Amino acid sequence: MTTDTLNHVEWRRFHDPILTPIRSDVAEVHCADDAADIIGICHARPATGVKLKAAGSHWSLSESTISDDSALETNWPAADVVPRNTGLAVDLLDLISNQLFNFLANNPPTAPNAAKVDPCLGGEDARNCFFIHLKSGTRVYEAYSVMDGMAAAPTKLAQALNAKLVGGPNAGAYDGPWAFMTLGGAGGQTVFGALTTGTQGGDFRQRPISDAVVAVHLVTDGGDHFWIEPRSSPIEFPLADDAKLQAVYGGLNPDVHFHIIRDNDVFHSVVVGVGRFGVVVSMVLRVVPQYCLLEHRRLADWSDIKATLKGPARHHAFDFAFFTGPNAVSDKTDFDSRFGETAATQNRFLQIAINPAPHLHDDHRCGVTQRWFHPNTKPEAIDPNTNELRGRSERGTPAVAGKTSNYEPPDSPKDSGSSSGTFISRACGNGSFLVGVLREVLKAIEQVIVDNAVVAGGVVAGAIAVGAGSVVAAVGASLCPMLAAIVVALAALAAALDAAGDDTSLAEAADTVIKAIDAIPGVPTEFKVMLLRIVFKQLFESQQSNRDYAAISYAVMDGHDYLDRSCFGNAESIEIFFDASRPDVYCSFVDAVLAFEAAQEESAMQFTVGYISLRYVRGSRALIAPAQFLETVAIEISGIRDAAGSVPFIMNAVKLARNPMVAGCFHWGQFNPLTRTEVEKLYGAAPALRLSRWRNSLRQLTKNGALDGFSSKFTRQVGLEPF
Amino acid sequence: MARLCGKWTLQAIGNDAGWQQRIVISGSIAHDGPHVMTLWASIAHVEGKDIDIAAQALNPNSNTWVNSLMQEVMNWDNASGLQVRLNIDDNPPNGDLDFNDLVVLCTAENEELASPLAGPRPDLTIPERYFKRHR
Repeated sequence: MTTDTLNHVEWRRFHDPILTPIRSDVAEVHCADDAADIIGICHARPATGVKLKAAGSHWSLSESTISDDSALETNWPAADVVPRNTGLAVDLLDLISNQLFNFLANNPPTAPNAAKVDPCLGGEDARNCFFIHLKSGTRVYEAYSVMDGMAAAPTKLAQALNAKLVGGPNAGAYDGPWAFMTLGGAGGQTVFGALTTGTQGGDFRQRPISDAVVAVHLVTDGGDHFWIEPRSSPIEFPLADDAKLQAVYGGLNPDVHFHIIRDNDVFHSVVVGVGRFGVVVSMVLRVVPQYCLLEHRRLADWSDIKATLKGPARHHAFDFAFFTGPNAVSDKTDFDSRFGETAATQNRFLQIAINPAPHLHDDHRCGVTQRWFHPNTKPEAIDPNTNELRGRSERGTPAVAGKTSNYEPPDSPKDSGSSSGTFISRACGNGSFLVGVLREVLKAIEQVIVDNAVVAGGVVAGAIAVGAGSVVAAVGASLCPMLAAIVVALAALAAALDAAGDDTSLAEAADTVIKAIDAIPGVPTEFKVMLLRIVFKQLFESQQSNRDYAAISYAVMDGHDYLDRSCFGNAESIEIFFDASRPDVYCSFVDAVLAFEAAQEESAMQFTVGYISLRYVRGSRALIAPAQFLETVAIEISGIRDAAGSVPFIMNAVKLARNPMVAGCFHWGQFNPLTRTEVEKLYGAAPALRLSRWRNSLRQLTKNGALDGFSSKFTRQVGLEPF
Repeated sequence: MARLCGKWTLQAIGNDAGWQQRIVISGSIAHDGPHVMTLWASIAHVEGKDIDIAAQALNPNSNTWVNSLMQEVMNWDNASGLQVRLNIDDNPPNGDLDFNDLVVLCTAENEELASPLAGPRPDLTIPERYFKRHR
């Protein structure tokens, strides 16, 4: 039990500019690693009159974690010497109800290596699962690493359950290892930070991460603390025993009260509470036996994908392995021979990534990514060199978790792109491979000079449509000398980027390319736009190229490059949620966003370095989760500020999403400009009345709003107040 | 019933019905009330924060206006901007559910929802004479 208070320090978010922290002088930053410490800090708060806000790894791009005054940190990222509220919390054997313990003992899970079906899709009850109790400052990668190592270090609960199974056919069933059912695209945020802002993956048969939570330990303003579970849930039994809870938590601080709440609305309000309720010290999550995932990605065109999404099956048209293009049949045959029956089974994940820059007739390249459960024992899951599950030694051991670049399947082309939805990390990653793209384009233009024509099927013809060609025609006899000048400029650019080597991020390199092409003398602007569109198409294709591989669950789901540091201060990102049953609405939004990019390229030669991605998820039970529809599509629009076109591109998307005709729900953990009125319209509608139920819960836990220590500028802006 | 927000032009782009068709606008600044919609009939500058549009057809037997069924489909058109198409089927529950008795295209007039690509664009194509299908 330790606390440490830092005075007058800079407070920045992970993606804030290094030279301009979002808060340059915070008088008090409290760091603590224990429930009693956090209770003490919250107990002292009202007398000080200063506001407080809990923060974790500072990963969030939103203002939801920014306090008006003091900060309470569960995983302060700026120094290693302060206490952090991370790792496993009180062992669940000391808390669990007899009913749930007996049910778990009588219904042991399938051992990870014996699983033939996806453990994540078997329902949400207490079968084929385990429960872990995590401190709220635990980062996602720390959590999956701890869970994956539990076979060697089982909890007391696992040991007690195993003791009941000794000698039987299920002996050792609770050894683990264990895994999350779903994750967002990156693991650097704290588990609680991710889920309390409504983070989701693209696992469309599952609910967001927040729905794996089955209990939380919350400390409110003034220090009173609460063990909160839903009154009814698929688990069917109380998670914890009241007497055990009182024994563990009742005496932590004699000056405050400890309460046990079993209430659906309170639970589903606190879980996605955006920090307004207080500090969640720990939470219990339902986890499943460790599994592998098979990822399958194919390049396609947005016009085709959009037509399919708007068809009768909507996004479920992608429920089976997607193949496209002239080689689709042989491609599928090869896939089938490699992965057996997988292609015939329904997938669990869908992501559609779109290149903002157009090609041909206003079309856009897409990367369609799907995932399936893959048995741990099948050859594709095993690394032949280590005999371990692929990705474990690269991403999951305590020595490497959160310290390595994203998992690259050994049989994939080098730099073939992220396996996750967090494209921003790829856009920030090393840009040296852009040199290869430039040289490819350069070679294609040289060939045009040689042939005095564009040849079908080549790099240029794949990007630029055949038409009247008035711009090209106007150049006339100067065409070949102009192309020669472009070749010289591209060669010089490639050499310069080569010389810059690994120090240049992709975003910086792309911006350099834009500026260098703009500076080529004697070339019409329209010509330069055409040239850059060829480059951006090649760039996108290199990042979203066809790929199939299997690896351990977290190596596939967490695609973040933890070695990259070039994104500090560069990223801008929004994520907007729509009803997936209205593809006409969300595809119109995407098309409007894409139209802006085409227009800014054509009118101002401004390009975005970024991505649009669509991911699908089941609706959440949490009252103000942005994934509020039965099936939700989350549209992420990310860009790097270094490129001149990125910020206007994203800000235009923000404006469009806020238009009442579109009315998108913004992610609480990313840039969220909504007002109270807009939030009330989005979450307040009958019959669910989600926002008013959420506010009722807040009133219940804040003495009807009198305890306002965790109110902040952001919560007042968006109306997450008791009113 | 469809709901629009902003400023819109409404035009009947389909009318395949035996009964006379009309829409009833409410919540607009200046266009509330019934508007008979023959093919290509157009109503410009329909503006409001919450414009409700209902569709009705005149039952010749009873000489009464009967509420129709409506499907609403949004679309983005690079040449104009955001569009909402109202596909209408009259005489419920005895209609044929082909939703083509009246089709009204609502096109946004607001700058925010208008296409930035509307109007002339540079010709970023390769002339046919510079294109070779086989090397």
